[in-house]
Amino acid sequence: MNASRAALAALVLAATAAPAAAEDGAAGDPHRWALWTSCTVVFALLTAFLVWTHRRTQADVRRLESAEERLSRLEKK
Amino acid sequence: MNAPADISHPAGMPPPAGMPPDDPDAGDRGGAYPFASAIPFAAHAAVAFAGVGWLDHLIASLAPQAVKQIGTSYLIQYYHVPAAISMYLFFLLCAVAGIVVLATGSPVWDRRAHALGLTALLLNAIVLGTGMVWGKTAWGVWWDWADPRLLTSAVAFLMYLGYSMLQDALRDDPRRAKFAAIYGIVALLNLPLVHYAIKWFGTASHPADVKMKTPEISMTLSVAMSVFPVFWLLVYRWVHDRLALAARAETVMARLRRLEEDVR
Amino acid sequence: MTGWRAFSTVVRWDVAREMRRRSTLAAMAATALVVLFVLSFAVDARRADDPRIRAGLLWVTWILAGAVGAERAFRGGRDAMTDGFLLAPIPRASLFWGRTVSTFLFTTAMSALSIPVFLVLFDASVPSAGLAWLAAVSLLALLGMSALGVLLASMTSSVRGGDVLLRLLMLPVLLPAVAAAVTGTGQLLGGQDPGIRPAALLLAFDLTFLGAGHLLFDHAAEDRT
Repeated sequence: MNASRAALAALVLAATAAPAAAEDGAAGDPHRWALWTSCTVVFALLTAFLVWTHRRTQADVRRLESAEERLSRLEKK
Repeated sequence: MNAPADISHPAGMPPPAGMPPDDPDAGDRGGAYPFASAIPFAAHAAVAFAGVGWLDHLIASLAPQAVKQIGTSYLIQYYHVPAAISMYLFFLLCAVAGIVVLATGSPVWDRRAHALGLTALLLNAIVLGTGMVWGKTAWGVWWDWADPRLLTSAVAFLMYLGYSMLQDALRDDPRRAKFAAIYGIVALLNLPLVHYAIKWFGTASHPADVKMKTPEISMTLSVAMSVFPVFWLLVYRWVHDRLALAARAETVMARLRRLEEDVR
Repeated sequence: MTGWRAFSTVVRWDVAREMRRRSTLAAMAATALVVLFVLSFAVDARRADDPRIRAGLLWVTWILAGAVGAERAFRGGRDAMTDGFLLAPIPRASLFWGRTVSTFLFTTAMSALSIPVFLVLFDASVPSAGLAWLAAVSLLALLGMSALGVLLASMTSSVRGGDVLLRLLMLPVLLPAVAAAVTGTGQLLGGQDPGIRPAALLLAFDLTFLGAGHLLFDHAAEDRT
């Protein structure tokens, strides 16, 4: 796991930690579910987005790797 | 190289030997936004992390007194409002970058416009999701056909979904950059029209917003407003670097194909 | 060729071709007929007596048929893949205005043809008092729709699957015009005075996208000579 991905993962968690942060004063609040739900929405969307872009990135990395192989084969010829 | 490349450094892979250094992408490595090359991705992430952590701390200290008056659902605003502001900022910048693309044909600004459009689409989904949950607690309904803000962002979502589909459909087309730029401009021009159309011709109405103004709440909101754009800019940078890597893979593959034909 | 002459050449050519073949108008009118019939069946036309709903159904019909017209604005003749004017060295702004006007004419003809069908299927009548306003609101909306359709269709026409893409791109942008047109039409059908707002918003919509088309068409339909 490289630095930028670790940082982003930590950020996603931090950015959606408000329900836990607010939990102290939330006892007996009928709208508590709303805060949890909205934070889950943010968390899910952000995570899905990052995973999706990351998978496409990996596909591009694989393409570059195969390019390297083809290139070294060319050099041998 | 077996480890996945750090996409914050899409050019981290040295150009394969034998390739002439005339790579069109060579000039814009790390150029996600004008200062990006001066600020390493990790430093940007650290600042955003510290900022969001500080915000969470503020929200926690705010919660007990705020909850007594209005309930926790009000805390949604600390995500929702900055996301909405950043979304409109990204829409604007996407159109501005599009104008630069049309005027100069710059591939650097094309990538910026593309990344801004995609990040704005993510922000748009977040704004809609959190807005609907908040609407359910504040207005009692998930969806309000008369709220210009909610409906403008819903229409914007459809338009920028179209923007990203246009980008995808024209992936291999040399006219992609121009066409996407045009649609980015058209979509931005339409936003004020949509806002007024819904304001004037909306069919229902919801109770007025509750305005809570204590110094603590205002202060926390202004922290959220300054911290979240830094965070969303980081996500934008991540998307931009991904696009840069994809473009790089594209040019390397094309050049390799030409080279293989020459050898044959 | 100067701008004005190029413009009138495009319009005259399009109209002449349409008079000879009637392919665009036939496609639009057939779409309008099918959509109107299905809609009136789906909502049970006898019971949908709210003028707002009726206006909405009429506009859904016109938008779907209008998208068919925009799609065909840049389709070439029988054996040409792209429209000849895209290849011709004429000012792009003139091509935009010419195509917008000819598309507007065909769309207006389609709307005029579909009104009697609408009145029969929904057993409706148009109050004579607001007739001029109704025509003005409709024409403004159809003009904006044509300008936007031509600008976007010039980009999507040469893309595979471009017709689907065109609708995806066009319909959300059209939304403010739809809101204004449906509200205005509905109030007029119900005998109310809609005031100046629908017309004002439609005028702003038209100016925005006629202006955008005028400025951006250069890039949307590059001179490929």
